[in-house]
Amino acid sequence: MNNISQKIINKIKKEQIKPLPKWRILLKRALIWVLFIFTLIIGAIFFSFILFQINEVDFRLYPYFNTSIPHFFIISIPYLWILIFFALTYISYIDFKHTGKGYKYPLIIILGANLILSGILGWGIYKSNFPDRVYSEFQHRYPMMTPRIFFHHRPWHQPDRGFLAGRIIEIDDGENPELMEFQDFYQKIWIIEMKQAKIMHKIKLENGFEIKMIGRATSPNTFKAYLIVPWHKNEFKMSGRTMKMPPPFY
Amino acid sequence: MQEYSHLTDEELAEKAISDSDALYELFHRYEKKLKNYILKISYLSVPCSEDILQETFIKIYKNLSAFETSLKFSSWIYRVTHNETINYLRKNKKHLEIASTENEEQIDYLNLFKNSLEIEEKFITREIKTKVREIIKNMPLKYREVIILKYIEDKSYDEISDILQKPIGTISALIYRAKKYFKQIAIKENLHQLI
Repeated sequence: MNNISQKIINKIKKEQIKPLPKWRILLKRALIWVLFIFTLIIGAIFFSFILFQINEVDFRLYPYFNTSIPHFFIISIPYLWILIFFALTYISYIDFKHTGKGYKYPLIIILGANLILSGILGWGIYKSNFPDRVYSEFQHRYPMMTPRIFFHHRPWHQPDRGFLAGRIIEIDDGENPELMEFQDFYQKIWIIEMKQAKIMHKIKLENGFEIKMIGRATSPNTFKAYLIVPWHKNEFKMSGRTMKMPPPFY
Repeated sequence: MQEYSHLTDEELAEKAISDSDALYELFHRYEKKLKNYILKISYLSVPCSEDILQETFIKIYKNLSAFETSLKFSSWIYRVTHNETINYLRKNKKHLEIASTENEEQIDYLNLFKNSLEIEEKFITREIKTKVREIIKNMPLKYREVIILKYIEDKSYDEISDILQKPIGTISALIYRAKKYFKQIAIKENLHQLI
């Protein structure tokens, strides 16, 4: 028996190599499934936030950006979240491939099934208002950072082009306030002239309220607002009235 | 030493966890086949292929409890061998000891002609054999491995899918492309009689 097989048997005996215990193998298999389900759920949560963010895009404002609806949609969607969602879907595909017979299924089937599953689960999570509640909680704890994290805010941070978003720090009292102190989402303080501004839906502007504005930067820290809209779409939905948009200013 | 030759691979695998005679029988059954398989896909020297085989057998023994009966034992052992070979090739990219022509000649590609290209044995000259070996040797690994498994190891699509851990559709596509690739090179090499 002077062959490789015998040499290996001798080596196994000499080095006292033992087979891995069954429980360790079962645990490894279970962990792969747990990882797969975990990434699927996280992906679904991300998908629910994407729906939440897309729902917040106010398409009635597109004419002010001097663009078309599709382009406005493209510049408003949360790329980073979508990217993370696809990355998670891909990770769940890798996890699934490592399950017992996962390799038998083609990429397109696994990816498609993962996308559909995350989509359905994400839709359910979105409908349960989970993203709204998380947003409110974050907004309460980290007021300046939250909109930057949760929304694709860049289209609204172009003061030179007439777009500005942030939070009211101090606003004149009275029926028709003319000035307010305002902090954009990058913490810069602005003085906002709002004498000529149309406040959408006649919302009562208060300190701490998050808004987006269309207007004109008149100096490095003053901005003349023509149109003021709540940052969070739900805030004017709640008033239960139909909003009529004024025509663009250009 | 107990007589185990009447047992199936799967039965042996179950016994081999605690019985070294059964383990020997199991290894002995696959020793030659797997060594040749390693040589065919890697073109490594015999000592290198034996090193890989040794590592493979130890891995097989360690993971015997992981063997699922839903899979054929031969597919599983080929899968582990394949993975070990690929890992070895990746790790030792820079210092590979490639087999001499002498070693290569141990590999018999006759099945390739018989099964896929349907040519009579008498027409296969030594020169043709050498040329075919060269074509297969220079094929991308993804084509070489499916060609070897299908036409030399005589594995079914399902078995190849289990060995390479790829969907059956992908295996069919790879075999189709590998044959196409082979034919293109064969035409360039003036091996018209094979096509």
